[in-house]
Amino acid sequence: MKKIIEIRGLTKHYQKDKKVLRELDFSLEAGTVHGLVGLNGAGKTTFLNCLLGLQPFDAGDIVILDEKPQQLFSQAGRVVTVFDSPCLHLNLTVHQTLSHARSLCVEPKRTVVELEKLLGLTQYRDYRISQLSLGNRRRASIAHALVGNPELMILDEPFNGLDAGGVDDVIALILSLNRTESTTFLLSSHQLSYLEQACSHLSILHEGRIIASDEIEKLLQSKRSKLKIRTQKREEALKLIKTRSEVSILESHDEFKDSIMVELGDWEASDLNRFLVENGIAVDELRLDRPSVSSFFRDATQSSVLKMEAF
Amino acid sequence: MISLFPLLKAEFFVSARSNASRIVLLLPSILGSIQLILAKIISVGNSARAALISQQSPVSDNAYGYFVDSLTTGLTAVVLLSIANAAFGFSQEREIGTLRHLLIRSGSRQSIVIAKLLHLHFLTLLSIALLGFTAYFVSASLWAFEPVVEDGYQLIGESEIWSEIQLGIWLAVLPIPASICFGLLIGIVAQSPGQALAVSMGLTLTFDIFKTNLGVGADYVFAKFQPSLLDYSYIGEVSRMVRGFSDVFIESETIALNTWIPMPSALLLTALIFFYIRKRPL
Repeated sequence: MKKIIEIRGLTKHYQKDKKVLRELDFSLEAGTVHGLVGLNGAGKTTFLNCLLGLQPFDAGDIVILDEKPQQLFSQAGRVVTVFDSPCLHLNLTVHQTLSHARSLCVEPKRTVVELEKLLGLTQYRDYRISQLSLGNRRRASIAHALVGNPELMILDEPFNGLDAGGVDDVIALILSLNRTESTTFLLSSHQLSYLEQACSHLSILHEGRIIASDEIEKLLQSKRSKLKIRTQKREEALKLIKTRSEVSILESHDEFKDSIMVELGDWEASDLNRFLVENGIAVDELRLDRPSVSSFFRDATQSSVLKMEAF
Repeated sequence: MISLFPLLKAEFFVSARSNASRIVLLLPSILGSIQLILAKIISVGNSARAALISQQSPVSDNAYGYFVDSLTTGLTAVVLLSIANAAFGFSQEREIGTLRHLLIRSGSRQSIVIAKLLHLHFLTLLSIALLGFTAYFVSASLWAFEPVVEDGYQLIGESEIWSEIQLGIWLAVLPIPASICFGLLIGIVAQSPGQALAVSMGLTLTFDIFKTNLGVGADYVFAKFQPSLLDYSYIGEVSRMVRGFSDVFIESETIALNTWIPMPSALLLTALIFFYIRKRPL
């Protein structure tokens, strides 16, 4: 598949001894919805700024749609971005903002009215951007980006400030544009559950490097499901489970004193349950924890994902 | 250059809906007109007082003097507002991020700067034109434009007055491109819009205060020749000349410096703008 972004050895430091990006390699295939995640301070914003030519970098090579980042403007709107902050003129109304975007666009594809309808902004058309809520500013930013026919949309924190309905709408819009117009997306976000819904591919940026990058399904295949077992006969159950190679014991929960955490290998949860019951151990509770983007990210970065989800 | 047209279109689109542009455009004319109206009130008061004590009015009621005063006030406002608008406007656009969309979709850093400079110059030119028209019509409605006559003897004819006014305006307008470039350069270098505004106005006013202390060194700074709060520009002298004062003396060397210093200064500042914008994170 055609590579729409190709980055080799990207290095950027703000101070002599403080590297934000360390020989980072990254590629993005056309037609995918690619998520980019990382802890706070991992270098996501710097990475996007370098990618878009907004910030100079110290070493490495970036090619985006066959152009250097500094020449991105020559693609005349084939690459568009929705930034974390709205990046729109606050004194203009929604209608004027979209008209302004159309005046900048070489080949506008949608009318202002269509964009307002698409993003649910019709009732706010005469509101100034400064008067809009955070969520509606985000919608206006997305509408601003969709004036033309972009091949690549880069969205930084696209779900911030949106309510649950708004998130669903944006995810549906992303998937629809990806399916019908083959628009490629690069989404940078902290909200891993939303990324899991929207993205086909995922990259994890950690300490200035991409430490994992692939299709989400492939990334999660390498992870096994975890099972929490609660039983009154914990010690007997532990002895029995140790005899089986299909599962491996991860930890015993001191919190409840009657729980065991195991990682499932070749067995399903039902196999382990049957095995325990057949050996006279009553199981009070089985809780299956399937591998998710959150757990994968937590393991990869060895951090608490709870901190991230709070954003 | 291909990307300049949409950038200019975008600049004018936003400018037409911006309060800052309205202020740059209208405030100099309003200030000039207010000055003329106040001058008329004072002039009428002085005439009435002179009539009461049977004296001839000490102030000439020729419109030319008031017209030039109004122009000087308006041009001072144009200069200060243009610097502030250039510095604050760019820095604010950088801070809120609107420049990012332009850079990604429409033009290079250099073409964005050229579009901004062209737009700022056009706005300033429009403001000066509006100021000229307003000052002329308000002056004409309050006084008569006529030659300067003393004891039946014509000191200066109207054609001579107009040519002096034209020279005064030309010499006052010459430093304005450098002023705009100076404002834009501060806007690019500054960390925030507030800092850009404070530094640009601070440096302008500081030079204004100390320019007489700098001796001949000040003659090589473009800002020396622009109308300012402590005015030493040529147009200030024109105001006295068209009132018939005979002690007006302007060195030809000063006029030569006024003619030749501002444009190279503008070019130098433009070169600095291009240098800084290359690496500035946007």
